[in-house]
Amino acid sequence: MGALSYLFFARLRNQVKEFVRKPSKLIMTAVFALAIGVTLLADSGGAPHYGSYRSIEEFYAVVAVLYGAVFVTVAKNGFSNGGSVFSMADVNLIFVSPVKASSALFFGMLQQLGKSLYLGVFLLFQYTLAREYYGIEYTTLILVAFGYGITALFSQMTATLIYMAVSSSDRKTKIGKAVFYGVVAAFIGAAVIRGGLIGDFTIEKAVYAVRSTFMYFMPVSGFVTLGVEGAASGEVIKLIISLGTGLAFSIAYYILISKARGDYYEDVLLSAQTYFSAVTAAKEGKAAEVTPKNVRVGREGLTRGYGASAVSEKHKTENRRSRVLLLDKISLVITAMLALYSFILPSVTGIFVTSVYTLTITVAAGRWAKELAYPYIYLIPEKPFKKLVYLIREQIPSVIIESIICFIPVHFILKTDILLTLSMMAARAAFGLIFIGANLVFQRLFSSASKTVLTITLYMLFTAAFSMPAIICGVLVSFFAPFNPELSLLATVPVNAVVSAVILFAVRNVLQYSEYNNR
Amino acid sequence: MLSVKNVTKKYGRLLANNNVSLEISPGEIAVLLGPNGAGKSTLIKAVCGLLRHEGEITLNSMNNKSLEAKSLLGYVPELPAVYDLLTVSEHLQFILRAYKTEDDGLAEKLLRRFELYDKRDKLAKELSKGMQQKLSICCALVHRPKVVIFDEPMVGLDPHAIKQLKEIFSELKNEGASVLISTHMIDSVEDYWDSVYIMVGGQLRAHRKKSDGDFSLEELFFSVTSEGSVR
Repeated sequence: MGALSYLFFARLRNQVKEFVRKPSKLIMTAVFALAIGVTLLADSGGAPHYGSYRSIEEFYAVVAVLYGAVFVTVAKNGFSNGGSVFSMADVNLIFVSPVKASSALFFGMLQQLGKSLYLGVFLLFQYTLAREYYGIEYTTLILVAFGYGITALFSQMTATLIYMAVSSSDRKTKIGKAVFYGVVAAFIGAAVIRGGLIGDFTIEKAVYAVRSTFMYFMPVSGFVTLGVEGAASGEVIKLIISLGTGLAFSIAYYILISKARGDYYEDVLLSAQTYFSAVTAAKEGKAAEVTPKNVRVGREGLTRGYGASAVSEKHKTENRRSRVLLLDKISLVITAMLALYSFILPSVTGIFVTSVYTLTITVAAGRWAKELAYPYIYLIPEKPFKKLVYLIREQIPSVIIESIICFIPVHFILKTDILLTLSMMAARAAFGLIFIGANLVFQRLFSSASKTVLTITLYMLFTAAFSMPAIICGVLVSFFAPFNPELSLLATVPVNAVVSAVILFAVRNVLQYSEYNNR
Repeated sequence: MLSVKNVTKKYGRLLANNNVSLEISPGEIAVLLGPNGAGKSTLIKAVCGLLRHEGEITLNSMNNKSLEAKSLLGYVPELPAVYDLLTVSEHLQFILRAYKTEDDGLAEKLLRRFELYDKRDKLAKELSKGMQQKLSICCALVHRPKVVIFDEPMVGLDPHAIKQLKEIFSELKNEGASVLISTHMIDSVEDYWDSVYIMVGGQLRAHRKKSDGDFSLEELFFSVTSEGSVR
């Protein structure tokens, strides 16, 4: 057995062994499988949500947009770090060994394929929605998830090719960017014109635009969408064209990298290092900083804050430097996501629930959560409760501002009643307090900087448990005032405020007793 | 004065520190040695109040978790702990403010000694790993701590910074600080130590004072770690 085959199978074998050594992994896999099973059981038997199914064209339009977004997001990394199908261990052990570069490349592509396919699994949780709205079969959703993984893989490969082409000079990078974004803009522009979307935007027109034949020529996402559609509908020609294009792309990539570029190791090194740094940071409990690449420092110096308050003043400076306009990147993404959701599935309940769910990301990315991964907050000679208050001080206004802004596009797209919009804003902000509280309890109980799938699941369970009083209250109010959803939403606000205050009091000494542990 | 009495720390079933005791007087430099996985970093984190533990740890007779004790402590972690979005000088301003200490010029002096002064307006994320380590050292020292704990402080430092750090060890000693240095680079502390503690498997296996005889740290380390307890 060759070295690479040995490595491949040894890792596979050890992953299986991990299930025996760490029962928590086995439990998590079982919970995961169960969760997917629940989505199957929740199947309404194919009964449409609103009397009839929405157009299947709309479903494939959503798939095409998703794949397109993945392609653009991943491939553009070719202008900075490049893309890599290799880990740092591959770089350090395989690249320096007498293994043929072309064999190493094939090995890298194979292992990346596995990782990419794993990424698409989250789409399976959308089965209930897809079934109720579009009458989608489970096999179709599996195909969509598979397509997602393939798109991620090919996008990664595209990033490597871009890096190879442009990394040698700034001029080439500028030209490359112009071409890349020019192509993307051309497709979007053509779709907008084709659909007649300017000044008259409707979902039907947008779907028509995205489903135009020329959109199949969009790099990667186009031919993958074609393949998924062909496989799901049994249109063999579409499937063959897609498979052929994918194969041609893979062969071209292989030849370009291993033959045309005799030494490709340098081209994937930076990306592998960047990925390695991110993984190491995650292991050390340091959430990856989502910051603009070029930070505008602006006003320098920390001129305010004394004792514990120095922490929140520091957070203000860091927030100012990490923001794009008034919001940070995550808030912008959440706002855009809810706006898109409003177009695709115009359900106020669904959008509100999704907005609450996104608080997981908002709170996890909060400055205060990152602060826990540094030793200073534990070392500063101040009372733990005082430090705690100043620690979470920056998060509360952030959650409130984000909650206000993210519902503004929703309000205009769905033309919701102003009172309902304001209620959603207030209710989401109050749920934000619960998520912060759950994070504190999590820290109090586990205090480990490193987050595992098990601890994250427990965190989600805490959040669900702490949210329960407000949810029950909201449901009860809806019984008495079934036509006033804003009353149900507003009823959750004081309940969540009280529950979060109780949590804060219960964990007031968390900074005294939790451990700074990155082992 | 740093005093550690019967400290035990468990991670699940793993006994990381087993009944460890040590004492470092004012003006004393103690070196903590041991192979990888001996429990040195765990002990250091426990001393700094970052981990829960059994047993007693005091700084100048005050519990290490008390605010008074915390204000006496300086800690250089194993991995540089810097904030990406703060400039070099803002790090020191932050520490001075958090510890309610006035800047008496030490911040600038430290930056100059570690050749960071010309980089004072740079963001920490723009620094190399070695420079981040230097900044981390400056942060630990800027509030003039009386007990200073160094966990592998020389890793990634250039020769100039190592020289400066060695001088700082001596200065801290002369100023009456209690200094604990955990390191694998035995040569680097050979000329500075007053007492040495050697840990193996979570336990202290040897303790010697410099005055106990004429021996090198390296000889002692290998004799202890390869032959078992000589205590």
